[in-house]
Amino acid sequence: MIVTDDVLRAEREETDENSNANLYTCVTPGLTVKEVTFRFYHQSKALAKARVLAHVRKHGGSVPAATREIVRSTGLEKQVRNLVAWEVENKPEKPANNPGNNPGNRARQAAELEGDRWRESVNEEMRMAAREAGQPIAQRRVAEPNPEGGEGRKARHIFDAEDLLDAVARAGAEGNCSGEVMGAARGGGEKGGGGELGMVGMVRVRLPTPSLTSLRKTFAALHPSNRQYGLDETLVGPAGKQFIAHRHELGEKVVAEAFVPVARQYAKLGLPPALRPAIYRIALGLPPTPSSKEAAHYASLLRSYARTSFHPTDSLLALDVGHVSCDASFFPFADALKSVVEAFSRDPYPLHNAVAVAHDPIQVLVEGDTQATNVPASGVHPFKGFIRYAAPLSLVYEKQPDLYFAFRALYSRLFCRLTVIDSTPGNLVHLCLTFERLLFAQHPSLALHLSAVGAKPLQVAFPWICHAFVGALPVEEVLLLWDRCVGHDSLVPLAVCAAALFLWRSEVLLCCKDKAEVEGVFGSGQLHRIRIVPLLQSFLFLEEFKG
Amino acid sequence: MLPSPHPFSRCTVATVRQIFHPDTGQRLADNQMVCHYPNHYELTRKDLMVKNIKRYIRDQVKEGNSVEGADCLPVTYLLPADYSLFVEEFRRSPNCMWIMKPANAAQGRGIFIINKLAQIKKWSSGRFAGRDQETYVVSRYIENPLLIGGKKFDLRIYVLITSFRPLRMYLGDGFARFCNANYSSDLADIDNMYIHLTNVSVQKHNEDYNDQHGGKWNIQNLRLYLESTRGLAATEKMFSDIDDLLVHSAKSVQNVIINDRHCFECYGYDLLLDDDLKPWLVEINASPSMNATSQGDREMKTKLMKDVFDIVLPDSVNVNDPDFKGATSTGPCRDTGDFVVLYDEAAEAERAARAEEMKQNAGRGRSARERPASSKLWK
Repeated sequence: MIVTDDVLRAEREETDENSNANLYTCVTPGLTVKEVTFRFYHQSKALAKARVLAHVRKHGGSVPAATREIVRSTGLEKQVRNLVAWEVENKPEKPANNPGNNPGNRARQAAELEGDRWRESVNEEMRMAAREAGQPIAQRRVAEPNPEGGEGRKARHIFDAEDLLDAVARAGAEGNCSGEVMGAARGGGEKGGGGELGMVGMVRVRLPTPSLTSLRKTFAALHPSNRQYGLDETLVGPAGKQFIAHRHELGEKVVAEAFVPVARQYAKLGLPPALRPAIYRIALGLPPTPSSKEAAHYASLLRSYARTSFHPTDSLLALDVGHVSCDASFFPFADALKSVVEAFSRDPYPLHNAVAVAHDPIQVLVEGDTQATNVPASGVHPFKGFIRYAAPLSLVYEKQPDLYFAFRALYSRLFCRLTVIDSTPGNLVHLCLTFERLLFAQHPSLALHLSAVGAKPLQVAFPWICHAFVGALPVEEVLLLWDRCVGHDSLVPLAVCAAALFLWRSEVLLCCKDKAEVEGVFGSGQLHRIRIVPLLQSFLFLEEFKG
Repeated sequence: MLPSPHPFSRCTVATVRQIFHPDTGQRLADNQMVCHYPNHYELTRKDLMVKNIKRYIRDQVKEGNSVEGADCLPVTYLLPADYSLFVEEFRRSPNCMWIMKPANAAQGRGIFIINKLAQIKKWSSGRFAGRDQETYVVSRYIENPLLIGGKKFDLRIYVLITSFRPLRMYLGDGFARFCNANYSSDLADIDNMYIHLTNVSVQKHNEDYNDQHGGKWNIQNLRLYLESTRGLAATEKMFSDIDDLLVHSAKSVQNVIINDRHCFECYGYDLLLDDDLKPWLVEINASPSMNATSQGDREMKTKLMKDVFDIVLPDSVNVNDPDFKGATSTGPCRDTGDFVVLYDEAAEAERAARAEEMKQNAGRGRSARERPASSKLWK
């Protein structure tokens, strides 16, 4: 890649007075990135050395002391600390590969196999859709993509939550259904049933999941003895006001500190809306304040979208945007969200940096290019509801570039796990299994009753989990739940929340006679006054307080 | 045994005056209630509202009282009465836009925006004086409205008033009504009502109108968005300014409204927020639409009506009791359902008297009782 003039200009604008403008004298436009990096490195070394020696001459003291002082005063220390913390925590967890043909390993392999199969089928759907539309997968843009597809044919989503659920349920179907069975069902091999939770569960992969006791320890921050957002700020009178003031004061210090682990710790107790923009950025590894470099990068992504069109990627994105325009909570932001997902599809960052890679991009050679492009560049094929991962953030960030980078970071760190099928703890399959086991352990008769009436718990809860509760709860509650996910760097709160909702409505659910009634219990408007924090607290800790 | 149903007299803004007309010979029975005040138009006709508020501000300033929050009307003139005054003001700032509204119409009918005097020749005096000309109000157009997603919106807020003397006001739910087209203050777009007018009756003709939500946005979402993007202090100030605006507007007609004890009224206030988060009063509706444009809308309006009935006829009160004298017989105002108490004049006066008493005892070491916070808007 060649470094162009406007990239250099953007870099130069970014430099503050602490950096030395002399740095840029060593590069000219037209060099490759590799050459520029090499020259920057040596030039920076020379300039840093000169700076330290100048400091020693001026203030005395030793070279190490001068270096430490400069690193601290320029804010470099903070940046390095954050980088180290991020790298340490960001290593994707790979389960230990025990050699041997034990059930655990078989389960993992089965899950991975299904994951591969799923990825292939998604790719196949994309190619088929492109063929149906009669257009090449990538071409120079001619006109705006229209959701009608090629010859007035309505574009349809390549997959939605139901398809994903089917894939989850299929994982591990062969060869690994024996084992302990809870409930009335017999062993595996049953058609349509199977899995260790008998007829009740849908996930057949046996993975270790956290028990309620261990969840109480992990999510100790949610304990009612801690005052937190989602509950205590609504107290009427001086108690509520004091709490709000205290949290704001503490939060501002956290923002000033700009250290990833501290921001996460703070987020565990819920965020005041005024501080959420900054804390999310810090906790997700971004600098606390947006920069013009980000805005420039975002603009270049949008330009790249405008130059080349991908089919059927772009029409599928437009279809998803159409859904969000109908949503009562997000319709004012439809335009902003449209630009955000369009930019995302042209951004290679998620492909290389996401904790879990959902799909394989299709390699295509665009006319006029020498190298094949990834379609889409992000490696994430658009599916129904993808835009939901960004939607609540539109109420947090006013400017599109800020919204974009927060969304990209949140996806790459957390929500990408909701789109893969594999055996990694914390990812979708594991979360579903956690939900099923939690519900069964707390209220087995409810789980049995629900599957008997044809509404297995996971069938109802799956859209909540895979869309991170967007659309199921009011926006404020979704964000409070996301605060806990960001704070604990885990999506397990989603599984716990789903189980908590079932338990909370258990009496009504036990009276339901069919699937439609079960869905009606959680239908539109039923959950719009709910408060998520007391719900989670009662699920996790209520037993402590029962006599 | 079922309790006897409370009879409601069905009246509209048009027929309410007939009910109270001395010539009809009928009078409301003690246990009957009416959902409008006979001369509600003092608040709900745009020209009278402007007159009353301007007079109120003048009087308050003369008495040396604070009028913070009362300054909620953009510069407004009545046409044709104030035509020459308007021309003077227009010439002082020639690059401004002004909005013309019929004094007594609804649903956005007859509204247009001007930026040249020539566009309103009809209302200049002279040839047309004495002709049956419809009264218009012309207001300085707020060219920097707060935009969300690039679109203009206004706020519809429901306020229930069960008595004017003493003033008893309850603050209900509210929502933002969005335009379908992106806002632009370009002169070329001055006639595009889809950009400027937020009335649902106007917007629903736009091809982008979506009946799943009807362009209506929950006010809790607005609060969340503002807190995230403008900070807590600015958001709280804005909602507190809205509270003040509502109370001042009611106080301005306190002594003018016929405070019949059979009456209560649920007003639909239309407010506009500008980019500095200042709320402006656009108009007040005596008969806000109870039609639902979406499922969420239906739920909100159903709850609204239930709450209104719960306030006006609480279970604890028996309207057949000869001592029942309307709203003041139901005791101090209480938060009910989604309505919070906005202003209870009798309770405030009592509190002030007690605080005064405490202050006088303060010399002996006793401190004045702290006044509880007033509204806790939309938490």
